[in-house]
Amino acid sequence: MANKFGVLPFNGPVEPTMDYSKVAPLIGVQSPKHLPHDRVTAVDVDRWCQVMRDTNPLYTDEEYAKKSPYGGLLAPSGMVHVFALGTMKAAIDQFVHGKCEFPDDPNVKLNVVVEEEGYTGVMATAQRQQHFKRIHVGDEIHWTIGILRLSDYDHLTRQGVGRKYQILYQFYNQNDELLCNQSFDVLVYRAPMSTRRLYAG
Amino acid sequence: MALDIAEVNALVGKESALMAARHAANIPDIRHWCEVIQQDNRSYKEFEKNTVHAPSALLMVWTMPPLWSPEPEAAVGPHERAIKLLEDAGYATGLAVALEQKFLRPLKVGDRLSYRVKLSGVSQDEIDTGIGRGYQLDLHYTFQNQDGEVVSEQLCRRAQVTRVTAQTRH
Amino acid sequence: MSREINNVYWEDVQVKQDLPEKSRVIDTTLIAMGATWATHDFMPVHHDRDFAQSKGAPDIFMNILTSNGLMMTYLEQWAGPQAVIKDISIKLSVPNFPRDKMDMNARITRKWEEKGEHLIEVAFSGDNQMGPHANGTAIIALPTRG
Repeated sequence: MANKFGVLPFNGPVEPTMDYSKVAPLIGVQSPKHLPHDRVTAVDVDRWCQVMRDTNPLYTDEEYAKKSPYGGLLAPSGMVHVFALGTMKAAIDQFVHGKCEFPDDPNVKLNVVVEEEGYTGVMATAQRQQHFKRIHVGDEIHWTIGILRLSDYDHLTRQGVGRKYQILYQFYNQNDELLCNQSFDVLVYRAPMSTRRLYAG
Repeated sequence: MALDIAEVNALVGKESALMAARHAANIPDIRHWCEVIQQDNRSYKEFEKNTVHAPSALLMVWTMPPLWSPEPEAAVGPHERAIKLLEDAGYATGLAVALEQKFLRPLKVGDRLSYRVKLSGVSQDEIDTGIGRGYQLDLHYTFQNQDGEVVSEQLCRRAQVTRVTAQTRH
Repeated sequence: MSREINNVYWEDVQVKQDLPEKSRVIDTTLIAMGATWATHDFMPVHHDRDFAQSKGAPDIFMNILTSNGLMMTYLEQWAGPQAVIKDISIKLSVPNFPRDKMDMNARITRKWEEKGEHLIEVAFSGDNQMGPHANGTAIIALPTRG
């Protein structure tokens, strides 16, 4: 039966598809608030500014920042996400040993499902940050994570055949003020056979 | 360019200007070091509660040069001129091969270090430095806190070689 | 600090104006330091070549936090310390591997006032020698002279 555009639907999927019953309850739910790996400190901001070559005195000149309307040193807004990342041990546990710090978070549970389906490669492909309030050095950034959507068909990308899902982060300071909403697109993919053979050594 | 050891000898005993650490001794850097070196994974709140002194092993770290700075580079000190003379003579690679550290006073979180460095000796001929053929430089560091009290004295032996020829296991 | 601080004022810019291009060399130091030292991201694909290759990539590659950081810095360095980036959206395409360089460009696409703020929208791009690394849009609140 043709739809209003005159396109005939196909009978059933012709490409492999995921079991969405496992995935559906994970979508649209935000995790509880997590603590950062550390407070926002002037040394963190200095390191970021050295790598990015940022000379904005609000970030590095305490005298200037104290006299500004902000009253003290700020961190660049793009840094908000940094404080949601874990310690080095947590990262090795996660990426080398597969042991996640927050196993009940929706994105962690989703990764278990997609890995079982064979999408073992992971790559961030896009993000958007909406900033509502500046970050002050000394802030303690609390964060939540959730899944907004998951694509229901395969994409062919440069990395291989994959699916995309979109994460939502929400960042708050210690006074419960919302600093930033961040959407984050992740591609999970199967590396092409040729690449896997070439780099498997 | 051939090496004239007399030019290097002329720099022996000359001390650099006083150079300040970029940051005061601070807990986040201590926590990072503990995490990587000691595999100590206590939370930042525990570090904030319990840390008064900086580990001695981190002492030289506070004064290390930055990855990048918009400020123009500080004037070249005598030991850097000595290293440059050796580099220009073909001894292009320098490596610290020994470090003797004396800790004279504890370093507290919040203390800001400065240091001076002096070339205290140089080998007179090309020798086998242990990691390759070249010259050996002795660099003497004196670290002081913001009150001018000497916190540490360190002797760093640096090999300046044409090529590193250390044995490696395969 | 005696460095000159340059502010861009809302009255002085116009739609279709291009920002001056800036370039960065993309090397192992920037990729590994960007990930571990600046953005606290210890995912081994960004600093460990063996691990990156075991995951099907030819070499370590830049993490998105660093890509986003470089583009935000490019925009803020042009606009000055009184500017505030309110919204920034970035899409990545060709990865930043070592032995490359990235040219950053932006063009003003809109200019308007809203709720007492003076805003511009910019479209920006970061291109490396293999193609487009990053493309995106940002909304920036600029100071006014008045």
